[in-house]
Amino acid sequence: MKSFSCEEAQRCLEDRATGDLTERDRKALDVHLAICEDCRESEDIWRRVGTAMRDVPLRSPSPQIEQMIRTGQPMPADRTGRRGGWRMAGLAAACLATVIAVGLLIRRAEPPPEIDVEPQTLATDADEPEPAEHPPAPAVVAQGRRQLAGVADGTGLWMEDGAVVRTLRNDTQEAHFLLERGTAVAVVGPNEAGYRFRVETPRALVTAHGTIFSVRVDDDQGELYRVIEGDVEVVDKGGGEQRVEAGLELSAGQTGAEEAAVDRLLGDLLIASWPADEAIAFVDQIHRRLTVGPSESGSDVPAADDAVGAVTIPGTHIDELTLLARQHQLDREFEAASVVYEELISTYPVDRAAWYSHVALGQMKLNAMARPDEALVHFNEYLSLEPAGTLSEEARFGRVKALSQLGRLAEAIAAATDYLERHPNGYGGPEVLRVRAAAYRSVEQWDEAASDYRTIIERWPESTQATTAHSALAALPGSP
Amino acid sequence: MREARRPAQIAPDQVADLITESTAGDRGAREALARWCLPRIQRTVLFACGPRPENDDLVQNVMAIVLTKLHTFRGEASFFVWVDRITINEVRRHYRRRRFSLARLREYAAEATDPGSHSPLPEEKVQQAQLGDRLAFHIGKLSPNQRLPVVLSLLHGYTIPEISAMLEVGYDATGKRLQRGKQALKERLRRDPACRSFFKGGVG
Repeated sequence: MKSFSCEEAQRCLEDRATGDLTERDRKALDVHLAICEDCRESEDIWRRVGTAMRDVPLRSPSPQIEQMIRTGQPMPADRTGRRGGWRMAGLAAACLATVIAVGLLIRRAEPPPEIDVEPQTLATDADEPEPAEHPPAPAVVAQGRRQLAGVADGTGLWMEDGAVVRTLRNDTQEAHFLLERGTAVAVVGPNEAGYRFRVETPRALVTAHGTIFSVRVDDDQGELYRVIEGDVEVVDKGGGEQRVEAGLELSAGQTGAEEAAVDRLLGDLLIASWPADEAIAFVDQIHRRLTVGPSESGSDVPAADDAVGAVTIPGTHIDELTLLARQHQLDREFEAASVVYEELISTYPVDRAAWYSHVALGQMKLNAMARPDEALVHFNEYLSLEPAGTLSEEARFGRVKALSQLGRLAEAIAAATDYLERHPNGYGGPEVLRVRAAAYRSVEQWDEAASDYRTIIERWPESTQATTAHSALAALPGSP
Repeated sequence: MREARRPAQIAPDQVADLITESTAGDRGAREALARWCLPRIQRTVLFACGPRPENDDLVQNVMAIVLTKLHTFRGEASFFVWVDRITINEVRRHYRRRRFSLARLREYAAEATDPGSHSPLPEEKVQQAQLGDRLAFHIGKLSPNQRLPVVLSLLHGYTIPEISAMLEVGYDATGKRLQRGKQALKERLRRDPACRSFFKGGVG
């Protein structure tokens, strides 16, 4: 018998609600629940929490809302009076980059694929004794995800899970941290003249004034310094120094594979952390920064990819293509989105993300571009690649609608039947039944149509399809 | 002209009629419909954004869209699903307006530096707070990508595929976000004395 961890059990509890649990998983879940009090308790907790959320007393609607309900007219002028205003500064590139920086910091902590940037989860060394004016040896060692606050305002070093940092000095004159391993992001405010913020690594010493930069030290992969805002001075312990400006990075002992991994990290981070369109905006910003050439940056330091130059077209990274396609889709530029999806599918034919793109593209062509014939090809393609895959239900649902729109009624009926058999509790149940009933009606199979309408009314009495079903049922020949 | 009715007086099978009458210009029907879905919008906004004064603006925006776009409701999903989609879209738009900034990062730094920020609230202060507000507060502390799945699941009972479709996020990612969000929320609730009633024996 398969055994579950608590995490798997919680996931299966979600699946159980949708009826998508296999018999084997259901048995394993029952066994786990029988022996795990925590998981049993979780079920109770979420039930109570859900009830409390639904029972929460609500304030009376504001006079503006009340007026709108009565008149049906949106409020004029300052109806939206946004108290506190929007944080326009947050739209600035530097702030976008800040998010990238924090995300980089936190994302590096593997294996979690998602990030919670909630600050309360960060430990801090603020309560540690402040080092003396001149650093004692050995220095204070910090490990893991935390923030080492500098003495100066707004200054600190944010460490990821695997990072090890020694505080060599932290006073009003200087913060000097030695990053022995892992990744850290430094946020350095515009401090008083004379204040120095330094991050030392086994290979280099990075000094900054009013900037944000990340440093990564990896025994195998070497070191990487990436400047998000402002500029830093990197002094190689082996001799020589470089000034690295915002949007650029400098590596020491780094392999091409690792560079790709860092770029992929950005994509993963953004997709995992924010709504797609927001992530796209970030990628757009960071991409321009990372691909700006030396002539435009005014720096002698090579850009991340000289060959690309200052461009807004995506690289060939699958995440970038996905994000770009989504961006076009959100902007209702469906033709452009379609081109990018096609590019993604042809470039990464064996990547699951490309398979999923078939479904996304199919849905877009079906719902937004009125091209059910092309949509059908994509749904079929996905189902041939992954008949029991994550999006198989969506693909089958789309297939039913596409066939129906194409007027291929016999096939639509067969596809609907297939959907209902494979996904008896699927989200598209009432709609698929409605489509099938309409198809039956078109081919004058009145009894079958009536049966489907009745099923909708019985199983989903509150659905809109049920409302339609009532009237459609009454209109069928031979109805009382 | 239809009289405005309280939410509880509307049966599900009357919704389609109300929509038809509303789009035909019946003010009573439109008002009844608006009053019927208002609490749902308010709750979604409350838990998706936290208990904040500007929630009224957001609710108002959603209501304006619902009322002005009523004629576009095609009945492919239930009316509540349609309303929830509008609400969630507005909430996400609201999130986007509140991008992170350096100032915010520093606020976070200050909060993380504050040794009291991890401590439970004082008992007497907690007792004054409403349970709903505490819940909204804690849910509001989840990251946005976890918060919406948690709200849609716990408040409205949506399943992962439904949330996945609504948020246009993959099934697996939605499942993970929901799971992680619930885990984070559970930890927060456990630390809050006002929320101990959710736990077995009322003890965290």
